[in-house]
This record gives sequence, structure tokens and C-alpha cells, in this order.
Amino acid sequence: MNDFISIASQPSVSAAVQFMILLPLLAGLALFCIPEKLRLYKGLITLVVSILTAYQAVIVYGTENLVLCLPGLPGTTQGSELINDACRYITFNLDKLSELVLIFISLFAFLIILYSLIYMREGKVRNYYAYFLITLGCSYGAVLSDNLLLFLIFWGLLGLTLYKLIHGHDEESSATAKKTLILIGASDSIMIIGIALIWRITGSLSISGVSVPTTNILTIIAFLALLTGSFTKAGAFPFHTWVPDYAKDAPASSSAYMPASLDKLLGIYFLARITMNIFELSDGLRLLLLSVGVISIISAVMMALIQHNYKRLLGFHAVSQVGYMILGFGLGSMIGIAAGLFHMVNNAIYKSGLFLSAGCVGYRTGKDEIEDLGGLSKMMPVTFITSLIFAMSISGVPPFNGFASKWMIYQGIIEFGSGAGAANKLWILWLALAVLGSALTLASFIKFIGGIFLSRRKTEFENVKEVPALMWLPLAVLALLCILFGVFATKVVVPRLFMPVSGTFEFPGFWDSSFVSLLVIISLALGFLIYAALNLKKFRREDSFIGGEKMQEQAAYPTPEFYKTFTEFRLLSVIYKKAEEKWFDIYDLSKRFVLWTSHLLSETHAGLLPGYVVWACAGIIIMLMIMI
Amino acid sequence: MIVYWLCFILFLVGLYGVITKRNLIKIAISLSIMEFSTFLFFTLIGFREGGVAPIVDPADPVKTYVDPLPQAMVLTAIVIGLATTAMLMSVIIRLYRKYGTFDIREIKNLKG
Repeated sequence: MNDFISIASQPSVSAAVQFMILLPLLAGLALFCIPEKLRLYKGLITLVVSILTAYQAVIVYGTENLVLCLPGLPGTTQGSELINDACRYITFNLDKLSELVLIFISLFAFLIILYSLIYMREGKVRNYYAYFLITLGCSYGAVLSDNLLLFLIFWGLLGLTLYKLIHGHDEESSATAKKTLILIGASDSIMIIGIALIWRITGSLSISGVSVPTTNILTIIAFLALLTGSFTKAGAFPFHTWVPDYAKDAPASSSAYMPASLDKLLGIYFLARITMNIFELSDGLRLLLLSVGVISIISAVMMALIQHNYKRLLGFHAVSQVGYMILGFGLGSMIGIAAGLFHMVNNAIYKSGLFLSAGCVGYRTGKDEIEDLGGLSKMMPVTFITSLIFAMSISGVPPFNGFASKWMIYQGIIEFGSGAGAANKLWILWLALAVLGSALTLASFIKFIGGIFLSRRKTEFENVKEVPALMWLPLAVLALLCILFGVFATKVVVPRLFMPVSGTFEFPGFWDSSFVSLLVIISLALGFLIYAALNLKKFRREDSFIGGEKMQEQAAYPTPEFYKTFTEFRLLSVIYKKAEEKWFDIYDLSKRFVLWTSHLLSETHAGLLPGYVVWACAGIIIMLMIMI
Repeated sequence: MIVYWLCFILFLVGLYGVITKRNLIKIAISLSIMEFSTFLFFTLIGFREGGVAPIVDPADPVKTYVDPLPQAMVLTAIVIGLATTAMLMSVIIRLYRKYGTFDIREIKNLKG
């Protein structure tokens, strides 16, 4: 174990750490006692708690690297033998990475709770606020804890709250909740194996004190086991399958809170920990990470293209964006790690924003399918503009933040190509697939924006109004963050927030985000001037361009049919068909395997006594043969 | 040594009956045969060649006694075996009332 820094010099920090973890947990437990009818007050309590903890997170930000342990925390008596022993397990680690993640966890919790005050007024999920707070406390705990066992406890509780934050109102959503719980739980148990292996190899469970080179088979298995946990939480291929289903069936605020922001932050946080602190990666594992990254990007975005349910579409994007972060960490260079973290934050910003705006649309219209919607831009202008900003960010359009981080990843890949090694030689492949994924993202968001907000308005939506201010305010804040992070990326955001974590580096290419943003604004203004200067009255009316497809007469603006041709290509059609039959879903595959095995076992139950006697005798004989 | 083998063969006879017979009564009888083969085995272990009953007489000190412990145990076990056989029989009677047959191929609600 490392030597603990004297806590006496930092009483405020240790108090803040204790406060951040315990307050939400206790408040969450207390909320169970308040009846559901006082939902609004529960929401307000949650809001206050989230503000208090966010304040603590801001206080903690910027302190030096610290390892705190239990006897140093206020409120525990010194010298008790029991507490001295517990000290080995209850240790907290504060460094630049965890401080960064803490800030963003608080930010998202605050914004989403603000949104939920209205959105959850009907009480779609029982004890929503209680589980919300427990999730918050556990996330802080998981990020702060230094001991792997303590980390695992918080991590496992998060899986449970994820299950409780979805409302099982019909068979499908209950099945989704079950699937989520089983996938997360299975990955947690695989993580336990990994942690046990680490303990076996090093004799220590401290995240900050361990550094394992991945040279022999045991360490590689430990690494893969921990990687499984991180990938399932973040939702990367092939453990991603709960994310789209969760996005479809959970209330929008739940899916914005867990899979879109907190689970991404935590999963990628843990990925950063295992790739940066716990293990030293070998070349082969880098190759694995990079290939998983690009497979996540491409496979999820291809599935997103053909979705009709807009929440499910967003869910697949939540998977595909994880691929970029994994690419960043797979590179392992300073710029790669900074880019991965930057993309993690950016993705959490725009993806929770997108889920929240999807929630706004659902709140006002009650529709889930893109083809049922259309022409909402006039009715819901704020939602429309913010979703447009989010969509452009996620598709990597400059000057928004998605472009800034993707550009850093591309730079990292190009730089990575100069090294020697199998993974380095393939740099052009990684780069091409990442860029292609970005393009396909844009393509599917044309469907999202076009299908919901543009296109012809349906008569039933004439009376749809903009959502209340408490609901669009979080959206506006997130959209503002998207623009700010994009415009000031190279000058302020990356050097201030991410370089302390990854180490200082120089950008390889010439790119000044503020300057380019200025250029973009100037060109837009020029274009507008030209448009205004020329005569506006003279323009042609044409049919909508729908990618050279045959126009369907019955549909006014057949956005949902976009990219349907994709499914008819020879190779792709086979893959899509298999995907529809859930051949790539690890949950369904293992379900089939388990059912097949149990079928096999039930076949042996003939129900006849002699059969059982023969089995018993054979068992005894085998046991005797082994023991004698 | 040969008597131990004979005990084992008697046990196998019982096992054969349990496995192959379809009549519940016959299975119960086979079980009893297995049971008694083990009793026989235990008492045979305790037997000593030329031994007498272990009643110590100071006037006539005999060198070898038969071991009394297995005998006492087996005596208890016989009583317990009787009780279990009675239990078995009552179960068989219940089964007969329910299914109207002793044939175990007809009684297979355990089937997976």
C-alpha cells in the first residue's frame, strides 16, 4: 500500500469526500419513507442534495493527488482496532481524473433532476427520486474509491438502481429491465474474477498502488475480465445490447441519466483506470481495443440507420460513440487519452441532451415512432434548435464539441501510425472506419431531425406547445456547453480540463477552434447577406430529395424509409436479418445456450426409478474410483 | 475372505432387483435384501475364529472373544430397517391407491 498522506492538513477535502458519498445515499434512503403523493417535495429535496454535493465536488476540484483512508475521515474514532483493519478496504483516491469525473457527474445530475421535476410529475417510476439519489451517491463512491472491493460494491449497487429506474409497465419493458439486470450483473461477476486475479498477482487491491504488466496469460485474463465490466457499463460491442432496449423502454430522463451520461462517465472512467493505472498494455491488447472500438462504431451506427423508434436510434448512437472513446484509450498516447476523456464528456453532454429532447417530444406528443411525427419545429422551437445543435455535435460538424474531440482522436490515430507494431501499421484502417462512422452518424441524424421536426406537419399536432421552461432550461444549458466546448476547445477546454489528467502535449495539426468558429460564423453571415441581397421571391419549388429513392405516393415525406436500401444489399441484408433475429445479441445467445442445456438435462429425467438408481450407482462408483 | 465376497454378491442381488424389477413390492423386497447383506457383513467382521460370547469369567480366562459392538449395532439397525420397511410399504400402499398399479413405469410424475 502507498503511504497515506496526512489527513490533518486537508480536513475540508476529507469531509467533502465523506459528505459527497454519504449525503445522497442517506437522503435517498430517507426518501423511501416519504409517500409518493408528495412527489414534488421529494424532487425538490433531491435538487437541494444534488446542489450541495455539486458544491462539494467544486471544492474538491483542483486539490493535489491524495489517498484518504477511514481513520482520517471525520467522525471516526482514532485507534480502534476494528477501524484500523477496515482501513485497508475503505480508502479513497482523489486525483485529477476522479476530480474531473466528479464535476461532470454533479453537473448531469443537477440538470436532469431539474428536468425530471416536470417530466416525472406523473410518477412513471416508483421511488424515482430515491433511486436517483442512491445512484448519485454510488457514482461518487465508485469514482472516489481506491480499493477495488469498495469500488465493486458501489459499482454493483449502480446496476441495481439502473434496474429500478426503468418502469416495468408491460411485458416488453419488464423484459428489458431483466435483460439489463442480467447483463450488468453477469459482467459484475466477471469483474470479481478479474479483481481476485489482481489480488492474487500483486497482493494488493489498491487502484493507485498497482501496476501490472500484461505479459502472461493470467494478467491478460484479469485485464479482459475488468474490461468486460467497463464495456458493459459503457455499452461497447459486444456487451452493448442492453443500451438500445433500455433507451426505448425507460423514461427519457432515466436513459439520459444512466446510459447516456453516468454509465458512460463511469465505464470510461474505469477503462481509463485499467488502461492507465492498473495495467500496462501490450501491443496485442491495443490491437484488441482498437478493433473493438471500430466494430462498436460501425456496427451500432449501421443498426441506428434503420431504426424507426427515435429513442432506440439514440440508444444505438450511445453505443457507437463509445467506440471513439475506446479508440482514444487504445491509442494510449497522451493525445489519445485526452481525446478519449474529452469525447466522453462531450458525448455525455450531447447524448443526455438528445435523450432529454426526445423526452420533450414524447412528453408533448406521446408518440415513439418517427413516422408518426413531423413538423414540430414551429411548435417546439427551443427543443428543435437544441436538438439540432446536439445532432450536429454528435455528427462531428465544426465548430461544435463533437468535432473537437473526434478531430483529436483522428490526430491521435495519425500520430499513432508512425510507431512500429501491428496495431500501428493498421492506422489507416482505424482512421477510415472512424471517419466513416462519423459520416453515417450524420446520415442517421438527418432522419432523426428531419422526421421529427421538419417534414410535413400532421394535423393532430396543431395544438402541440413548447415544453415548460424547467424542461427546456437543461437542454439550453447543455446546448450552450456544446457550443462553448467546441469553440474554445484547443485554447481553454483541453488544456485546462484534460491536460492535467493525460499530461501536456502539442496538437500535431494546425487547428485553432476559436479561429475556425469565427470563420464559420463569417461564412454563414456572408451567405445570409447574399441570400438577403438577392431577390427572395424567385425560387423554385421541388420535391424533397430523398437520396434518389423512388418516391412513395402515400407518405408525405418518407423519412423513416431512408436507408432502407441498405438492408437490401446482398451481404448487408444477411447481416441485418441475423441482427433482427438477435444473432449478435450476447444476451440472447447465452439465453439460447442456457435453455438448450436445461432442455438436455430435462431429457435425462425419464421419471423412472431404475434410471435414477443407475445414475446414483454410477456416481458412487466414480466417486469410489477417485477416492481409492 | 470368501464370506465377505458372498455378502457382496448378496448385495448385488438386491441391487439387481431394485434396478430391473418393475413391481414396487419386489423393489421393496430387493431393498431388504441389500439391507440384510450389509447386516451380515457387519456381523461377519465382528466374528473371531474360535471366539466365544464376551462374558468375562475370572475363573476361566479365555483369550478370544467375538466383537460385541457390530452385533449390538446390527441389532439396532434391524429394528430401524423394520421401521423403514414399514414406512416403505405404507408409501407403496398410498401409491397404489393413487395410481391403481404397482408398476413403476406408470408412476412417473418426475419426468422432466
